Amino acid sequence: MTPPDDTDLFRLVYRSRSTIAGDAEAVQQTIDAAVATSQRRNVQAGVTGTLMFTGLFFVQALEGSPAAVEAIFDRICCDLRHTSLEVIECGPVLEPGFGNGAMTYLVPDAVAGALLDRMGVEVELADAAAAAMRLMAALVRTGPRAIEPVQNVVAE
Amino acid sequence: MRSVYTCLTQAHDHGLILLAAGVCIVGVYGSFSVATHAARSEGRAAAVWACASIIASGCTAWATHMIGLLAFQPGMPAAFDPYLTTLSLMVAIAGIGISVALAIGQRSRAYRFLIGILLGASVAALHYLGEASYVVAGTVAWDPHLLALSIPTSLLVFGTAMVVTGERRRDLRRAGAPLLIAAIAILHFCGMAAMTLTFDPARLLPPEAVPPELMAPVVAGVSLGLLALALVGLRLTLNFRAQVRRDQERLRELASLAVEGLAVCDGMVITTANRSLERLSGLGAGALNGRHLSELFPGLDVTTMPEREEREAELIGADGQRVPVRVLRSDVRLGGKPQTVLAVRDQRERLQTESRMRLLAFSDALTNLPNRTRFHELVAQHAASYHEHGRAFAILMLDLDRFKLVNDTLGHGLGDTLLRKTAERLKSALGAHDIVARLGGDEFAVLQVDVAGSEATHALATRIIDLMGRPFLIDGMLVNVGASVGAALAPMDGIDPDQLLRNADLALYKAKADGKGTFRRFEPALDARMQARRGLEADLRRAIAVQEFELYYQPLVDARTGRINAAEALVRWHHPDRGLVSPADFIPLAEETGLIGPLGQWVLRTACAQAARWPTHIRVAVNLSPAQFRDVRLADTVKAALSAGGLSADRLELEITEGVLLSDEERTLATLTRLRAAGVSISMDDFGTGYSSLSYLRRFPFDKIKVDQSFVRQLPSDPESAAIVRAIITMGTCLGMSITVEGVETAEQFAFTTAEGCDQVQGYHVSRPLPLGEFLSFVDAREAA
Repeated sequence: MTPPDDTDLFRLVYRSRSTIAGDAEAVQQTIDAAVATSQRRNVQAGVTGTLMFTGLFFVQALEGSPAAVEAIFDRICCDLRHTSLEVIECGPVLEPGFGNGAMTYLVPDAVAGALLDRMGVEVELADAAAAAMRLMAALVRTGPRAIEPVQNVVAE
Repeated sequence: MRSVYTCLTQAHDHGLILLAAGVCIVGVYGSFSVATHAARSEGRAAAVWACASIIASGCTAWATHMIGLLAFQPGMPAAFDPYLTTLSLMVAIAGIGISVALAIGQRSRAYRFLIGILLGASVAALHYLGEASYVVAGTVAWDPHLLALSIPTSLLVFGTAMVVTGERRRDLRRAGAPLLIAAIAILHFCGMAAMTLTFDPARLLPPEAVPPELMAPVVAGVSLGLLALALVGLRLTLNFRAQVRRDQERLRELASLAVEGLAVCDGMVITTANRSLERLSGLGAGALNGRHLSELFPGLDVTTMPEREEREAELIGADGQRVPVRVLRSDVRLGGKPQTVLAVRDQRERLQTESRMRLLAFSDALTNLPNRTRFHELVAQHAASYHEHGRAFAILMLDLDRFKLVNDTLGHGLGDTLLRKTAERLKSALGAHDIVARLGGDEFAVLQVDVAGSEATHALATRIIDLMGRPFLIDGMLVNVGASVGAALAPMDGIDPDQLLRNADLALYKAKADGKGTFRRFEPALDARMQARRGLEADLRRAIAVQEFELYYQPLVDARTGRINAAEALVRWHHPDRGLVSPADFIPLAEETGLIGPLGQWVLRTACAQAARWPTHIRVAVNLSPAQFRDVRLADTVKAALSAGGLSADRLELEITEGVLLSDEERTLATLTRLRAAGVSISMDDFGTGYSSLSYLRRFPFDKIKVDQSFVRQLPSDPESAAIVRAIITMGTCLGMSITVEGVETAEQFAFTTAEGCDQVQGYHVSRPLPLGEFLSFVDAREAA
């Protein structure tokens, strides 16, 4: 069931390292503010997707028309609150992998977070990308409590 | 006085007195309106109307007088002497005509007063001639006192009236007519009162005397004529007024067509404004009339403004909006009176155009960043004010690492988008007061202000490199470019703007040489190196021009006979200050700058010319650089050098390194084949270093292989070196190529190489490179031995 306007759907997934300084609470406040801004911006631009913050890394998936994704990505690339930005996936897709709703914000619990952090430094980029993508898609579909699929995904 | 009053009230027919007054008023109006029209007319028409006016005024005076006389009731038969009556009319017309003619254009009051007296005199003449023409059946007696009083008084009033009439002030001018009437009245009624008629039946009226019954119609006719003239005058005046109104309306229409705002002012108050000014000010039709100029143009003093000279001003519109304008004042006569006209020109469009032009001149159209000109200006300004603020600042230069590739492969459109996005990223890396500019192409520069220390500049450069290292998403494509940054800090790395920019450029040059995505700060060594390089380059150019080079020759001997059978030409530079400069110091520079072309040619020609005079069994070897091989005319150059020097081709050996073969193999092989065909032999130099691809040996049949000296150095003790040298010799022999071993320095090495079967030996053991003279002596000595 792919709506006709989804033929022009474009997805970009990137990973970056946070440069937000301060204690956990201050960091969380900054993140919350950033998430609020990006959600508003993305709704206006018609971009959906999901953002995950592990305390060290951001992984964000953007889905929308190529032009809209490009515009949002331009702004993300001008942001100094993260560094070492790497694009994991970029290209046209047939259907949204993160739902049709507004940008979701995922808070992985301790296990998933640790796995993600390890991914950033240990696992090869391509594997990490695929893993992060599937992990995020799984989290979106089943809700943030789904720990089991996470381990499976990374182990694949 | 009492007699005057009695005369007026009792001796006159009151109806006729009123008629006289009426005729007088009508006549005066007619004369004046016609006179005014005469003043407005030109040429013949003016003269005709002026004559009509004068005749009318004379007739008015006469008719008034005559009706006055007719109104007189002497109580006895009375009649008019026709001659004197006619004469009185002539005198009136002539007197008034002469007076008016004299009065035209006179400004002096004394003169006007005299004319007034003259006018009075002519009216007096009219009056008393008229009296004289009035004959009664009786005797006439005059009151001399009243005459003596009334005539001068009347003349004085006439004079005053004329003075007042010529005055500038309007209210004074208005007093002219009443004064004139008063003068006439004094003259007339005093004259009448001074006359006492006594009935004397003995005196009969003269036979030619015309009775009042006959005179009255004549006077009435003249009066009617005056009335007609007055009507003509009225008509002319009405026409004129209508004309003036039409002219003004047309003027206003015309003024409203003007793009400029126009205001006619009486002093500082606007009396009329055109539609453009209404639009400009936002004030509706008529709202400008009566407005004071200072409300519209605060601070602009129109009265002291020189005429025909534009002034910049601000117009305050209806909504308080300030409009930049230019105001021009000029004084013109409108409707016969001087007025000030202000022309107001809207400057908004011009200022906008100017600012757009300034923007275009000082900014980069693609990114809207300041351009090179503007950036240099900003740096110069900031450097100039350094002495005041004393705060350090930095210049960062950057360019994109792979922009050319992106532009060439993905198209200029995408390249432009990339540059725009680059501009955005750079802006987000900057501090609040820093400035980024695009200098051209993919070159950008940043002026970082208030730099706390070099760490701040380093942090900025790191931010820029991080941001530029992130991929760009353009039309669904990911593009990676990256940037290198060089920086110079003021005042540490210089304070002169040009020097700072140059130093930042040097740092960028170094950053790029050290690898992509790097940051380098300027250091004096960079400058020193660059200066030295530039100095050497300049020296090299000069050296080629004045030929400061010399060829040294290192002998090569036959390994079996020990006879010299060749010599390698090696170039030496006698620098006037530095002495002998090593080829290792200047050959790479010559290759980089392209100077190797002329230098190599000189070496080739000189070697050929000098070797031509050697014993014929000694060949000469000349090195060719890869740069020389890029020149497609190389084979021709070599042939030309041979024929110029008179050397046979088989005595020339050209030595090339692997580097020659690395680039554009096809063309190189073609050139080598052509050279071989000409009879020149080709040697592979420094064999065993570099790639040493054996396929080269297969693809091109070299005449000779020169074993690199690095293998010889450890001979014969090092078994590996010995094995390699042995293998090369065997291989070369099998391929039909002769083998030369270079760098043979000891007797042991010499013994080893000859024992292994190499053909030729070169090295300090035989001889170091020698200047031509010494080389020839060396040859002679060897031959003799």
